[in-house]
Amino acid sequence: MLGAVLIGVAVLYRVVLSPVMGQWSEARATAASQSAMLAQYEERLEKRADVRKRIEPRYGPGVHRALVTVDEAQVAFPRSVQQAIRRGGAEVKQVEVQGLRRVREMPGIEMLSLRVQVVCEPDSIPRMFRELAGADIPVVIESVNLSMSQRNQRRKWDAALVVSTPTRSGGNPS
Amino acid sequence: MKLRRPVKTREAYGTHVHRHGDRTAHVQQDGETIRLLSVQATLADHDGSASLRGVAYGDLVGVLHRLDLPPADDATTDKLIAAQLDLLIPGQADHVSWGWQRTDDGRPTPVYTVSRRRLETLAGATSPEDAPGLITTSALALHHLFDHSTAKDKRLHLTVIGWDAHQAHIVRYRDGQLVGLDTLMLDDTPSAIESDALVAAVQTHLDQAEAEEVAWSDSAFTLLGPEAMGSEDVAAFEKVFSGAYERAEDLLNLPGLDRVTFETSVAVGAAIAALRPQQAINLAAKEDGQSGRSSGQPTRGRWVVAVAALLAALALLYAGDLKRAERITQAVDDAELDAKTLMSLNTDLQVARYLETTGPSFLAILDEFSHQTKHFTIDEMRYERSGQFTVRATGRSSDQINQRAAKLAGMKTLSSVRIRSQVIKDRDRIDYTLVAVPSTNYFAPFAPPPREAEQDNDEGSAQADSESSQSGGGA
Repeated sequence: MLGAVLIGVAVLYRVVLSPVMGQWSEARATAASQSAMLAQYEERLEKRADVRKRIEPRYGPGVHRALVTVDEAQVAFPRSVQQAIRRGGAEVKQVEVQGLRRVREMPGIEMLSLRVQVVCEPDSIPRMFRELAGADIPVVIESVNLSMSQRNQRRKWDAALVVSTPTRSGGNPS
Repeated sequence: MKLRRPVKTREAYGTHVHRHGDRTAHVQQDGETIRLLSVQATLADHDGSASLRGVAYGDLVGVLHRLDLPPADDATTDKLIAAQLDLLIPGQADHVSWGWQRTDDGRPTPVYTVSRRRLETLAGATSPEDAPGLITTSALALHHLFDHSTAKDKRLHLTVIGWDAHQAHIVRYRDGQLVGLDTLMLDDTPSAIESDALVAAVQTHLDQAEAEEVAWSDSAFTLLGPEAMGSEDVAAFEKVFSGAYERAEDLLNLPGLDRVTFETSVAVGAAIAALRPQQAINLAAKEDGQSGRSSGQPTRGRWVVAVAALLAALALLYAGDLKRAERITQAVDDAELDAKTLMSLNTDLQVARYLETTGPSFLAILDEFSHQTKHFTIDEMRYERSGQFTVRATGRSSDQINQRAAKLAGMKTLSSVRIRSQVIKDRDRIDYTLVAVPSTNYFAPFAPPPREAEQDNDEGSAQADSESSQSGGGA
């Protein structure tokens, strides 16, 4: 009688309990790892949203967009900069791609720089920079050189700008 | 229990009534078995009418109460009794089972029993009116039946009563106080060795100290039984305990003291005790052995319920974990969450933080510069984000130039302001160059500061300044 009971218990363990316990353990492990990853993901999403919200007034709505690749930026960034300058009332004389520069704080990111020659009236200068701050691609003003086009002619100014934007290294579109 | 029909002839049902004074016991004989049905005792009121009766049903605890009701049919009588009982014991429908019999004069007398749990809840009653009052156990009844034989001058006194071939009751007194009531079930041994069984019973129910005390010569024992103790039994008993032996002659000499009479005596004692509810309740709490036996079945039931609840909780936990894992996996799938996504998110965060820490924008410097230096004519302006901010201008005097340098030094977007050169071109014309460094701890004039720089309260005023100059700013 006792032997039959023991055999029954062993069969029950083998057929029912063991698979159920295994499934249970696997489910708990999966839930733990996945929930940790999900929590990490949500935390980073929240941080990114916070920082982007703070820098949006300086760099425009482009901060919320995914980073473009270098190849895409070669086309889009000059166009975006020229459009912003024109909206500000200035005249673009020359746009020249200066090159790519790596930044230590951002592995895998390269800054694409442009040199832009502009002619404008004094009132257009703040408007131009305000439009650059609202461009659809984040524009970092690296350097500015404002000078009178002709001596003692204060109605017309030359502006030499170097601007840059972060791009994703490699040719894969984001 | 519900006795619906009046018993016309008790003897016809094997029921016998035994009276002793104002106490009455009902026993029933079924073949060789004699069962105690009920015991009643009546207290007389001032006017001599009976008002309360106590009853004990074997191991059950019961109450007998007499109601004077008008003659009615059975159904009406049922309702009348139920209404009366509900007044006496609220909620009786849940706790009380009752029945009734008609008395000789045709009036119904209800008999109802109260569950032990109900009894315990009533134990806290402070006044006799609150408690049912007629509650007892057979063990306490023995005490009241034989308490006249208590040797109050003895330190330890045992009264062993009610033993037959099946059981013995032991009443223990110490210094005249009742300290214990025990019941021992005996083997089916012939009466010749009853004394040995009794000795075993006493030894079983005494602790070591008491057993030693029993052996003292000043201890006393009272042996009562359905049959007169023979001299041989007494001798055997005295040999074991070496103590005095008392016989309650008056009870043993009761006429017709046979087994039935003895049961009757016990019942009468129960009835007496029933009329002392406080003692009865207190003593009931001491009956460890008896309560242990009675609670055996519920304990097993509780175990079954506990195991079932545990299994149900495990099943719920198992199902909950499976569901949770499924839900989280679905959420991860929906978010297309993998290591690549997390890495991309990290990169986005790094870029955003880099943009946040690139110092004041040129627009912010320009705004603040315009606001601080009205009527300030410049010839050239240079800005390098990670370098210098340079202004070349013309002034009328050194004082004016110093004043302008001081104003620049007050700007929040610039630091380390100094005059690099002054060249006198004319009597009232000096060309000069001011140099400054874009501030590193000023982040965004148009945006709230990042959390780690929130302590910089000056930033708010600079932001207001720059915003106020947006419409009219310029070189």
